[in-house]
Amino acid sequence: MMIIDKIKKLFNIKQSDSKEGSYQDYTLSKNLQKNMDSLKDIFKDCEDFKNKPLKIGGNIDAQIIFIEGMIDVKVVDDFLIKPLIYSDPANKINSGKDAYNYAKDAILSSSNIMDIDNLEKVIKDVLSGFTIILIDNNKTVLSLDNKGWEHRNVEMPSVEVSMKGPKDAFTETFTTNVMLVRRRIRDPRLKLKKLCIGRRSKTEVGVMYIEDIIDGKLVKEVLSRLNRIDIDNVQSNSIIEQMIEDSWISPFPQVSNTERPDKIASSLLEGKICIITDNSPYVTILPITLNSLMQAPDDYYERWGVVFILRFVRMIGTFVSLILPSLYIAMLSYNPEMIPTRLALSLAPGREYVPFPAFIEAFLMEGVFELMREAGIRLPGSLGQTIGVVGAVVIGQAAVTANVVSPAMVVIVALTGIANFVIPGYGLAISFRMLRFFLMLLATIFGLYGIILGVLLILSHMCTLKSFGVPYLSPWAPLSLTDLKDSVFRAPWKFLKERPEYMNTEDKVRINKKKTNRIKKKGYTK
Amino acid sequence: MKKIFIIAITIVVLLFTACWDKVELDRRTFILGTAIDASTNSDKYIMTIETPLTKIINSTVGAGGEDQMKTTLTESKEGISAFDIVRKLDTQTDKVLYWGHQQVLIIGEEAAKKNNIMNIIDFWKRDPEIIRSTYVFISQGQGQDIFKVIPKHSTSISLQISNQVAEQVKKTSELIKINLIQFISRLINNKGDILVGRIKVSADNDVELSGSGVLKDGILRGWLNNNETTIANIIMEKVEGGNFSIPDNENIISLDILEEKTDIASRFKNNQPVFTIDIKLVCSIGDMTQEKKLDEKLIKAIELNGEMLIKNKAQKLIKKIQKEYKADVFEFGNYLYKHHNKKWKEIEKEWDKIYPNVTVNVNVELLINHQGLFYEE
Repeated sequence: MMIIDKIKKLFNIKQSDSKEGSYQDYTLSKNLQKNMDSLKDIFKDCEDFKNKPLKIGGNIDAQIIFIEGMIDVKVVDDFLIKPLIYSDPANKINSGKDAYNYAKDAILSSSNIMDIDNLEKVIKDVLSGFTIILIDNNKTVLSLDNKGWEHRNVEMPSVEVSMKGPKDAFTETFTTNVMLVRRRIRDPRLKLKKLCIGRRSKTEVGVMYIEDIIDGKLVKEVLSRLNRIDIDNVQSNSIIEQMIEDSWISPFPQVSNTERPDKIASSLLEGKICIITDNSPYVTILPITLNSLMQAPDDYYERWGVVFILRFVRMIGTFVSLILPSLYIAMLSYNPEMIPTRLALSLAPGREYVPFPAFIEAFLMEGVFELMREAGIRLPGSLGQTIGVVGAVVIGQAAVTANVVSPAMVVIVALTGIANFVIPGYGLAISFRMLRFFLMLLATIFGLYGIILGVLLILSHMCTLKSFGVPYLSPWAPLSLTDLKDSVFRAPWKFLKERPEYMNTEDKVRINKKKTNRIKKKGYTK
Repeated sequence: MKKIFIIAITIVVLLFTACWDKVELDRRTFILGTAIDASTNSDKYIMTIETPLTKIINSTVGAGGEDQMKTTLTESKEGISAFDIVRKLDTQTDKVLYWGHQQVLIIGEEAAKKNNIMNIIDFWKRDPEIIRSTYVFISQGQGQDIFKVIPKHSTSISLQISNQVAEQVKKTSELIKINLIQFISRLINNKGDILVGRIKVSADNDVELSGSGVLKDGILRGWLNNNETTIANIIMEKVEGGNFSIPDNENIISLDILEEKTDIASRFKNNQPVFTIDIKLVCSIGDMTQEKKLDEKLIKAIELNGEMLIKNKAQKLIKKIQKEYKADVFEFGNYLYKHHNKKWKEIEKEWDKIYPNVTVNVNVELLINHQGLFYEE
């Protein structure tokens, strides 16, 4: 009973209310000196916090504050400080109000300038890379957007490579990412709602959707789930994904993400929601289905016949990567009559001097494979190659020669490994990798019977799983005949007239039937 | 408390149970072929099994000599029954004898003549591990001699036989292809009167699969030769492919059977059943020994000749089986049971006496539908 109580304690730790920032006692006042004192107090020991006192028109005291490195210093020097100091003597500036309006309307040649009367917002803006101008005798301050930090340019996608698709990928900058999507859908109905998540990190999170396509309830649900997140730091998009997903216990990802803007654009047009998180080069898509995770961008760029083969290979690969090692265990240990006689006769000599039972052999080799994969990712780039050679030659060949494993096992490990790479979604691939071990365990205990049980268990779990109200196995379960056009088989583009049925979109038409049919009728003949 | 109980039970179920028949592949030895013979000097049986020699295939040390060529091992044991011998074999091996990949079951001539075959193979009927697609043969001579033949293209003689059966039936009909489950069910349905394929060691020391043995009440009564077996296959509608030759003056024409259909009908005449067998054959011309122009007239003549030939042969064969062996291998009794049940019940007890004198008419229709690639204008 003691242990149970302890476990219970682990999950229900009594929580004190989260602490907001330590600047709640401060407010903005009219007195510049007072404001500066409180800001300096708040930014005590932050040595990248800079302030520059100046006199507007040589008369009114003002202060410019910013965080070093977050802004474009050249802009501040040339277009902010200079015009403010050498202001036109014809314009007499006597009061703080005059100075404020003068600065805002006449001098600061910036398109993005705001009035702020709230200290909390001032602090947030300063930390987000804004330049703040405080002017004496004014309760409001000016906030100028001239972010100018070092950032990565738009580069080639590194994980989701495509043959024919566009070659740009998301970066860590929020605005760039939004721009990449906006450039693809030039429609004012593509909405962007900004949220700020993270008590301390104050991460910018944008929710994108197309207003007249998406199911309105879905937007509400996503926004309410996002608003309920109260976490100190949003490190990356995956933290948000894991906070808002439906079932934390499921092995399958219920939210997917991508680094390709074209994929985001097409998801938006299918009536899905995308969440852009600042500082992460991946953009979240939701809701998703198993079918959508099995699709690669190239499926839509290639012609339909090729796509059928590609997707078929992918399905087979998924199945192989899931059950091949467990089949090996079950057949070798329990059901050798299921192996064709000639195969059995060629497998048996290889196993003759292997001292381990099939399941230890399988767990050993699959374990080694996982080891090599993990090591390959962790090692610096130049060493990663070495791992490949060591893995293939040393472990594979030597293990067989030393009779630690049978040659057939090496083939199976290699096959499952390769087959696993076929799955387009990394999140899905990794969950199948995990389930492979679950099935291997069942095969060890129950043989083929166990594999069937395991597969049924996984299938029934998938049937009950939902991603934001969308059944995970749609369009297969529940069956939707129109959506089958884009499942294992992708119909030619001309026939993909409707948006997915399971998304319950408001605008259902993707292709205008009348116009498109006319292409066929008025064929060009010489 | 309830939750803990459920978790505990799940753990117990998952970790402390397993299938009881878990035996690793390398702990098993596959029995590829079995022959069962009657012992010459006692009432006992001798069983011979063929198993693969895995250690030699894997060994990197060259032993040299004849032994290295050997890839299988044959062992013989004597005992009162098959099961007794199996257990005796078990006492002398470190591996588990595994019947899941048995390819052939050969019953020796002497054993088949001595005892009801159903009793000999009783072990194969009962054991759950035995694969039912095993081919069954009766050997002319000792069954164990088959395993002394050195396989030509295969690693084991049993594998060679099973492949040979599968390929041979597409080309000739001189063989009865029957597997264990069909064998057992036909034996039971037809009260022990069936034809079983014959296997023998040929003069040039090869395995020959041709001809068939006639079983009456499960006991081997005699053999049918190759041609007779072809006719028997045609009557039983078991032809997948085959050939027969027709003499036309000095020209001998070989025909290749493409399609075959047999219908049996019966009626009663003076309370005695009369059977009519309608055979329809579609053939092509395989070859001719003398070059002749194949015009319609000649083809018609060949067809007529062929019809007569097959009709005579079939009638002769049926007579032979009726009079000589008294075995109802063509299942006439079963036919009456299915189609004339009332009458069958009246004559069922006397069927053994009626059967040898039953009239069987044979009608043959032969069609030559093409003459091969070569065509003469």
